[in-house]
Amino acid sequence: MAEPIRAVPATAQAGEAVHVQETAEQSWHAILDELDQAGVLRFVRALVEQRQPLSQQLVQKLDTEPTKSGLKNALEFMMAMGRLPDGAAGTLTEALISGLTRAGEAAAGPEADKMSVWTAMARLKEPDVARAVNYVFGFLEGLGRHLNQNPEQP
Amino acid sequence: MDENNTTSRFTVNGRPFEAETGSRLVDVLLDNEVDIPHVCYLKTLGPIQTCDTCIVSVDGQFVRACATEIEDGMVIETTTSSVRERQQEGMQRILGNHRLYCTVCDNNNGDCVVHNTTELLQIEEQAIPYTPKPYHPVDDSNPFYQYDVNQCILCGRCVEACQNLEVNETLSIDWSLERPRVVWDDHKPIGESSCVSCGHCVSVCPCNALMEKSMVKEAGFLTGIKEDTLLPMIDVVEGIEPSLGPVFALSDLESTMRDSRIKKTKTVCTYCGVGCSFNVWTRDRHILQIEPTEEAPVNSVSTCVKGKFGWDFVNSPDRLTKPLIRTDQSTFREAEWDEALDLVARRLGDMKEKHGPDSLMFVASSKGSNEEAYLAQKLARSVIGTNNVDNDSTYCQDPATFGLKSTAGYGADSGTLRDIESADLVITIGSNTAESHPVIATRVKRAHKLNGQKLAVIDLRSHEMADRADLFIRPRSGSDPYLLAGLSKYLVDQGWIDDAFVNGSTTGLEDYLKSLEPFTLEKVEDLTGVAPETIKQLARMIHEAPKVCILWAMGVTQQGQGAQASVAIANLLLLTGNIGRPGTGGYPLRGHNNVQGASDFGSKPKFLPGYQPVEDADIRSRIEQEWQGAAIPPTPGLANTDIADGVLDGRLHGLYIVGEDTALVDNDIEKIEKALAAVDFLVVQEVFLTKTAQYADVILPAVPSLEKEGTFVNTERRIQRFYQALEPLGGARPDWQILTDVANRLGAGWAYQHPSEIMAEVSRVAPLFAGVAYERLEGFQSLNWPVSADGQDTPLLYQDGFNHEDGKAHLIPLTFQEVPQPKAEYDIVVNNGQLLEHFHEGNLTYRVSGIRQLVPDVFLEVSPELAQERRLEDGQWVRLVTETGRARMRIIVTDRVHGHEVYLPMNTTREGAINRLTSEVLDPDTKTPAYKYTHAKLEVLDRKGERPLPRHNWRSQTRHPQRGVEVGRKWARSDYRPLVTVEEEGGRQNG
Repeated sequence: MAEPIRAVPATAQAGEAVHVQETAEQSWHAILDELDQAGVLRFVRALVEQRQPLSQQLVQKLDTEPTKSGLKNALEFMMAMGRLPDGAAGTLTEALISGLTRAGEAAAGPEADKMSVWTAMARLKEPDVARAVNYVFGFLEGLGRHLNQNPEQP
Repeated sequence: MDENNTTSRFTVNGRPFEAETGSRLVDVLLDNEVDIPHVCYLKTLGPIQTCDTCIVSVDGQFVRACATEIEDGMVIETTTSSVRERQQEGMQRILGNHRLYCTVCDNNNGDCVVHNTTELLQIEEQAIPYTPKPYHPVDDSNPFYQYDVNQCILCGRCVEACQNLEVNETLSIDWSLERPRVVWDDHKPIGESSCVSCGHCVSVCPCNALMEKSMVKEAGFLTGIKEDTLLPMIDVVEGIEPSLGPVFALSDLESTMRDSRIKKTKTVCTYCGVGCSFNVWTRDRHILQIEPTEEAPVNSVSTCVKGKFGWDFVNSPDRLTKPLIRTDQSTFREAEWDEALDLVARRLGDMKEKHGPDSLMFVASSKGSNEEAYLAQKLARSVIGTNNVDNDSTYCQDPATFGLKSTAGYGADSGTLRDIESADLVITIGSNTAESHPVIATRVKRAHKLNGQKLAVIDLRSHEMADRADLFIRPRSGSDPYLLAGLSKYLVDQGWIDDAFVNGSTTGLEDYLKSLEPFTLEKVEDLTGVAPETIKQLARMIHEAPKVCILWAMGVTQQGQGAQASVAIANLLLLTGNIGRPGTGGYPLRGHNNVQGASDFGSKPKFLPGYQPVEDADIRSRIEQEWQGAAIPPTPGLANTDIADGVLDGRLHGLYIVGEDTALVDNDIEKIEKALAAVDFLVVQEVFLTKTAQYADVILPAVPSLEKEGTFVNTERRIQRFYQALEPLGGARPDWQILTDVANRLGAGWAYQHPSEIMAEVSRVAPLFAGVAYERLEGFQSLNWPVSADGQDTPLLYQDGFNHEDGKAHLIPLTFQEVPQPKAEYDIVVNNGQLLEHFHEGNLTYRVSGIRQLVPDVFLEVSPELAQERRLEDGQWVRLVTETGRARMRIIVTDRVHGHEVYLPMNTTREGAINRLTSEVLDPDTKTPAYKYTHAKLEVLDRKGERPLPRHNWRSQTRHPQRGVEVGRKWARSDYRPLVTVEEEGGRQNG
């Protein structure tokens, strides 16, 4: 006659190990060994162990008006960049680089510390300078028009 | 247009369209992939009209697409600026009630309706600032889900689902509040309300207001952060997010990353026989949620508490993971698979050799797959050479199978849930449908509430369906067959039978009518206690209803005359022509998820797969050729209810039990325990150390459905696939693999690598499944048997005749054999059955902590009359004593039962187990035990404990029915400004 047996060896039941993924464990072993030898694990471990204070610090930094405003501005800037005409950013960037290069040369020249009214008038007639000045005035015109349509904006 | 032409032609944004006249505009737009925002609308629920995001222009008028039906000639605009402004305004009002912190939200899984609709409408700024609502923010008093009032957008989906789909009638929106909110009953905490934890509200919630607790802090990469960090993080995200297309992109990115670690797997519920299917979301082994979907053919978005939340058992620490071998009277030792399988094969082979094939008995699981039930019977028949194979259906539903098979031809439901919900009259007999088959009950309750369906309930006990019934009949225990006979006779006497149908489609009328003769209304009143007027009333309801469905369950089949009662039901349906037409039929509601399939696929002593009789030599020969194994014996084998006697009288020497807790579910626990102790060799394939497994010589650890593939058959004969969501735990293996390994060690040479190969073999063996193939069952596809070779299935049986050689149904004369009367001292009728929260003996559900919280222990329902008579109060310990055994439990006093009738749920493995009390009376036609026909003495013990059912349980609460969301109350608020064109005196005006 078989009596009922109400217990089984602990190793034959899932126990708390039920949430361990054996296959994941196996597949990660090799990677973990490599990371340990490279010292990466010690760094990651510190990050993980300190994740709560670290994340608190990060969030505290983020949760300030200047940071939020900065993020907003940055994101709005990114959105505005998305509305620029195709190639406009590239053209402007290259023009700025060219301008900065030429400005550097001019600032280092022998006459760099002198500029009479007549010299200035004469320089305005140079096609490259005139194009840049017109560009700036065009930009100012567009800026002013938008500000007029949206008076509440700074 | 032509009056008979139901197709309308209309334009949408200038493009011509066609659709059925009267169809819902929003559906037509969605079906044609026209982007139409919608938040509160869900096809299953119908138009709710709270969100105002689906506004379109029809012939210049602004209307809600969800509430507009297609008419010919309509000119529809969905994208004009004025339409878009209204849609955006509707969405802005929603966002005023919702904090957008998607990246750190557990609902950011790509399916958040609020998130997706905001994006669809290209809303870049939250125009109506979110302000918190002046209530306690999160109600987490239910063990399974929580309500975050501050995230609630007041769409009303949850209310509509609760009031009109589940029809539990707990939730409403209190529109009278300055800040409206969803309330449970009359503003109760969820955990103290009438909520039954079905999960409908959570499943349909379009955002994170209602959420499974298993999802909270688990679904997202960042959502597990502690609150003191998370809350400021939400502030940060909220501070920068409302105007941010790019930040939506960030949350979309995070959502996409979740796809790499959240696995969504289609599965089929393993509790009752309704056959609900859904996606299970898992992250590693963590079960995040059960996601029912409108694709699911039976349940759509519906579930019950067990199907939605009852899966913790899969990860129970009690799971068996290694084979075990009994070493002596007190110890199991761990073994390797090879050793255990070799031992099993050797002992089975030895016993076959020594005592013959019929000295062995096999029990297939009614919870396992069809393929596994097929292999269990194939192992018995083709490898061992015995028909001694059975499954749980002998204990429960064989009488219903007998009744329908002998009359109409197929031993199963004659139609589907679609027929039940479209009937004009539904009669339930011996079925606590709302608790035993909750999702079927939802459709009956919905049809009854919304569509004028009539409901008659015949039962001992006043349960929810009885409370809702138009007519509730309470016959004496075990007297249903006489009531049905009297009812049928009265219908005949009144001439209320379908003569044309009876004459053209049935045989045997004369003999059948003769068998009814003794059952006059007066005689029936004597036998049943039901007054003649009541029977007349039910007869009139049947007569006046064009379409009648009868649903029955174990209250009928386990009464000792269940087979004849089932014949009486089938006869009644035939008499009145209520079978073989849409909206009609007979529906025995199957108990286990695959008790239908286990029988269908041949685990029955009398039947080969597909109900082919073992006595038929041609059939045996054909199958033997396919199997290439032992000769199939020509005589039926032993049934489950023969096991105890078979062992104790020396006929059975070995038992092989797959996933059945025979020690608890057999009707005489004392005797079956003796048998299990005495049998020479017992093999048990199990997930847990059940009572039965405790007697085993070898335990082979098996896996639940989430860890394997296969198919189940539900109560509608619907075959559905389930897929593997998790890896087998530890060393446990699927039953089909274990059976294959055992068979091969006995020389079978089976080569199955996947369950689909087993199904392919079944389709060759059983004509009933000729066209069943895994390819035809992909995803949420399903097939209702019989399935012809070309894949054509049969949701509604008997439309082209009945399953007998003459094509006619057979009216069978009723032959009652009176059940033995108990001695007078056993004056308590012990009714018994399921509870909503638990299943069967509770091996699975007691391993779900939330369910234990709802219903921690078994209890005995005692009537107020009996309580007064015996001076009983809630929590009093009592002992029930029958001629075969005794059981102890605490009581609760309730008017669900009356007089000397008590109710003992079957859901315990402990000292309150009902089968310690049940008798050895068997149904003469099917050997099904008369579990429900139990009579006892009640002894009051000198001990009082706590009330066994917590006071806050839904059974003690009052429901709050209303007609859905009642959106008119929202529109009547002074702060509501309509966005649709509203009717005013003298014409229309754009709101």
